[in-house]
Amino acid sequence: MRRFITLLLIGLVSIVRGGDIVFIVGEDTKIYRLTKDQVREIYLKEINFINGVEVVPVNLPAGNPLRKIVEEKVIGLSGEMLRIYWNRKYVYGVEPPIVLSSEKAVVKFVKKVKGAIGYVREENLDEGVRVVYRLKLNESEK
Amino acid sequence: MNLKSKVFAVFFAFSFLPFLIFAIFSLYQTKNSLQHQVKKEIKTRNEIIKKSIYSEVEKLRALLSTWSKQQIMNDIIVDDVDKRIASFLRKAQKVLNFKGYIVCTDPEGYVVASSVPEIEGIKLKVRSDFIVLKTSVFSSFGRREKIGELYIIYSLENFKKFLKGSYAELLKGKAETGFSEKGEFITYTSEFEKEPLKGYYLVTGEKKEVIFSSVYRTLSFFSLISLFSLFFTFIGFSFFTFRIFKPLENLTITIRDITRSGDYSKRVSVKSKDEVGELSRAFNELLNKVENLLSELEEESRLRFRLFVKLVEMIQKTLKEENEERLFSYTLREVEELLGKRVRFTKEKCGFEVRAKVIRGEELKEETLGYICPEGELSPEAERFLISVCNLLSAQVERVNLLKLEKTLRKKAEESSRAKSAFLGSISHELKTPLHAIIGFSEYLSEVLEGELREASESINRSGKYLLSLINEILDFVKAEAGAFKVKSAKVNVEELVEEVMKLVEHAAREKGLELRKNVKVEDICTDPIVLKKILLNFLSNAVKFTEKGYVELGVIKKGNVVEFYVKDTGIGIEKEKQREIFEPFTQTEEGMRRGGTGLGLALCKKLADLIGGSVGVYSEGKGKGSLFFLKIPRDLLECKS
Repeated sequence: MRRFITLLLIGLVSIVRGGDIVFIVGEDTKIYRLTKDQVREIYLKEINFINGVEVVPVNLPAGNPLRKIVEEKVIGLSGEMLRIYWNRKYVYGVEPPIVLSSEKAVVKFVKKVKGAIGYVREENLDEGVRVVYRLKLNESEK
Repeated sequence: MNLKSKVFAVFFAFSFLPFLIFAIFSLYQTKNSLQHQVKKEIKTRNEIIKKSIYSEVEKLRALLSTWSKQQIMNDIIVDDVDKRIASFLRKAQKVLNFKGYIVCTDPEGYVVASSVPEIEGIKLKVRSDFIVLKTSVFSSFGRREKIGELYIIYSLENFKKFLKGSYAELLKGKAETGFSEKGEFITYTSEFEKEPLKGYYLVTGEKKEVIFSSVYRTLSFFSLISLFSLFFTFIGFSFFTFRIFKPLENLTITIRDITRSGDYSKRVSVKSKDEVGELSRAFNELLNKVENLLSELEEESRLRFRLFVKLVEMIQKTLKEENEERLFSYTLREVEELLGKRVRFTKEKCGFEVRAKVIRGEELKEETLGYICPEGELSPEAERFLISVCNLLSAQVERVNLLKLEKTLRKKAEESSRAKSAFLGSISHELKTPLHAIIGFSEYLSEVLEGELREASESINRSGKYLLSLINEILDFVKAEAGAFKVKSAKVNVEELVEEVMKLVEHAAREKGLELRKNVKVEDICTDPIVLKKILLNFLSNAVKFTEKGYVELGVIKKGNVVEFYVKDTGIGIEKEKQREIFEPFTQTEEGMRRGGTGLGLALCKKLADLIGGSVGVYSEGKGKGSLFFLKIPRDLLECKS
């Protein structure tokens, strides 16, 4: 059932392309498709390598509506929870993903840095990037 | 160098000089230590500044390092599209507020972000008067690759805040380290060993004037003190010299005065009781003594002069006294008075002998007249005096005797002269009487006789006349020789006398055809006319006798103080060698002998000229050239004894 819903969602996303949040990597990065869990784990720095490529998750600044959606829908942790999570991780020398201040910067960064993965609105997509995961949004969320 | 200067020198040497040396030495010491201290300070300051600069640099470096680890530095990768780095750098610069800029470049050196927006996007270049602090920026993710560089471009001017105060300077390039003196500064130079300041030198210094101002102040103080002390030295010295040297100068002046004026009554005024005062007093005593001695000496010399006058009087009187007895008694009395001793004159041998030549019969004989005996001992001077008196007496006695003898002899001579004259008179008479008879009878005979007899009687007559003239001349000569001629002085009219004499030879001259000339330039003179006439006649008759043709001139001229009578002829003349001889008796020229003559004429003329105080002579150029006989009579003898 869940599988069905997912497929449905994907289908829905592919139908309704505009307005979604897309996770992107540079063309050089040999990652082609990620699952939501993969994305989640990458952003929580649970996994560091995909297909032998060290991944670099890139975040948008705190308070950015896009980041809020991603934290809610992909990572599934509230701001308070994340703070606690990263504090705990910091003890082991793991820092939260780097933050870039704009989607434009994210696109540029992803293009330049191998293994970097970021998220932008679909309309900010550019040449030279590849979408590896699409987060479909409701009309109300757009 | 006079005493004053010496004393001043000593004064100076012992009081002022050590002070001066001490002052200079201490000043030198102070200056040295001050210099040492200041050098230390300069070095310390140099070190402090250097440390400050280093710490400033370290602070910047630390900041730079911190900044490079900021997460936003990852934006280099995205060319700082969101200007996050740039705004951060600007903020940082604003906070730090330094001259210069903070720059962030990508690995290729292109400026990604800067505190100065103008240079973004171009390759970074740094001006030489800036120092560069640099750190690499690594990504904060993944393998932490180098993503760029972060720079602080820092102007040297920022260090100026450390260089404030005294002289301090940052230099680039090569420089001598250590201490040196540059113009009015003493400086210390050190090198920066650490980057980014390598190649820079820090020079710190201090103005000498500032360093040594205290020394100079001390110096001026010392100078002032020196001047004061010199002044007081001088005052003290002046006072000292016035006290010590014034009396000495007075003494000198007085001595000079006395030496110059010879006034020994002057005295030095004595005020002080020190050694100089003693000297003055002693000098005054010496003067007293000298003055006394001088007055004594004067007295003595007066006495001596009196004695001398007396002695001269005695000698004079002695020399006048002709009576022997009175001579001795007077002289001895005077001697007693002069010597202040009794003196006897005896015939017994004692004391001093008086010897003299006295008349014995008709001759002078030397014999002892007596002895002068003083009573008691005599000083050597008195002895010499007595010897001189003896000599004086004997000389006077001799003189008196000689005078006596002369008187006697003269009387005798006069008697013999009278006898001679009488003899001559009688002999001339005796000689002439028969001659007159012979001449007279021979004249008579030559008138009455004829032929050979007549010639014979004329010859007798001529011979007789010649003999008569010869006798006359001889008589005259002898008379002159014997002094029988009595010369009288009378006023003579020269013109008349000349006329008279010329008349006597007129006949003979006319017979020989000679011209008689006359040249009289003198009027009256005073002389013996008879003697003068005899001389002139002699000259004239000689001239006529020895002249065959021409003229005979008799002239009288004045030549200065002399009246000259001359007889000039054009006759045979006389050789130069013979000219002197012809006035000697019995010398005749050959020609004279041939023509007859006694050879006594000119000798007689000479004698006669002597009698009237004149002289005779002859000029002739030689044989056959005529001759000039002259008689010169000094005019001062020509005064008539009227």
